Amino acid sequence: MFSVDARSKQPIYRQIMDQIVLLVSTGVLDSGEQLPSIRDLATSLGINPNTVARAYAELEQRGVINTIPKKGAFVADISLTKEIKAEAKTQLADFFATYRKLGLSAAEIRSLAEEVFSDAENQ
Amino acid sequence: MLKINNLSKAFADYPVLSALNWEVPDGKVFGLIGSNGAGKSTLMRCISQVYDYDGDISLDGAPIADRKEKLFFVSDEPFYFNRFNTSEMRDYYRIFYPDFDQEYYRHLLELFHFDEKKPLHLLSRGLKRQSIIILALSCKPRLILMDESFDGLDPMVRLTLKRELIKLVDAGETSVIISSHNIRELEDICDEMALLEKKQIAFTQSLEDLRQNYHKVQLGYSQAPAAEVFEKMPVLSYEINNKVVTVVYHGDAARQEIEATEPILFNPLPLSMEEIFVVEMEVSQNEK
Repeated sequence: MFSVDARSKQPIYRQIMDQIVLLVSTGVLDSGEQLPSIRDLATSLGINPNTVARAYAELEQRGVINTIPKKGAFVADISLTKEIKAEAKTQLADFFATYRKLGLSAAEIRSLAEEVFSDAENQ
Repeated sequence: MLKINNLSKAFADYPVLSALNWEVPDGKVFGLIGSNGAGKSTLMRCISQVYDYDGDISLDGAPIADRKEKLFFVSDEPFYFNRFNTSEMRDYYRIFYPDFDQEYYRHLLELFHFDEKKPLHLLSRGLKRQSIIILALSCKPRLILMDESFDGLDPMVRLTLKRELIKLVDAGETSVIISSHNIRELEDICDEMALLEKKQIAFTQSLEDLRQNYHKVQLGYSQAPAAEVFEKMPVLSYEINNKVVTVVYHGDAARQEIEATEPILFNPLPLSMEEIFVVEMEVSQNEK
């Protein structure tokens, strides 16, 4: 169901979190739907159960899932707009920093972004 | 070029290789991959004339039996005479390898910080390997066969060895076949990979192709799809987990069919060389 890349710079618990957020935000997982148990997921990915537990704990803290003792983890009834916005902001910040370093001015990046947006809108 | 035609080898009543064909072009580093017991060492020993076999093996158009001085086999258990040191083994190899390059041998000793006077039986496994590798390269063979030769080498030596191999191959005079079950080990040095499975070379592919043409995608649906949908597709593997499906496919053929199932999520995932080989091994094991 999920897939982790041991060689990625991103920690494995983070990769699991991102994938669950992606599945919830695209509507593949509906609210109330059950997630695989920590043990099952750890076994199928061949990783330490503590890593999965950490991903679930952080997701629970962010309100993306609810864990019910002895029953398992379930997708919470929440709008992920905030999560997605935060992620988008991080990515934009990375993008901005990269191209500033490569010599584009802030104004140039802004005008490129506007060009891309208007192209996408017109399609 | 190394050409293997219709090679078969059996031990007692157990066939290990059967009607195997393979061509290794010049100036390449070939990775030979296969599960335990697939016959990687057997194939290498047939090529290096250690074993008798049925079929034809030729190097540059002549039977390989007449070209023994042009090939060097680095066995997984290197051979040496009892109490010999590296320099004495060098004198032995020089009898059989007229192209032995003394200057290059000196250069390698320095490069690997290797003491040629230490008796081999006193050396660790890793150092024994280094000794035979230094000798192998110094013989300037056209074809070097390395059977799990990177195992037991420390990272620094491994890097030095890889650099030397790349130089030799780049000069156009040497081809290398390295067997391993550790794909990561081969990834950064080989140009091509060959998979030995079911007594034959199941496929050979360049690393470029392996990297670019295999895809792993996570698909999400609003309704759990039926297994038959994916059963009929030209995918290498699929795993259905309720509404989430993970597929691995090669080339573009499957892509359109996947898109036709209208997934609400199409999320490409990183795919390691190891996963590709696991999938390909499973595919060829499932064929009868």
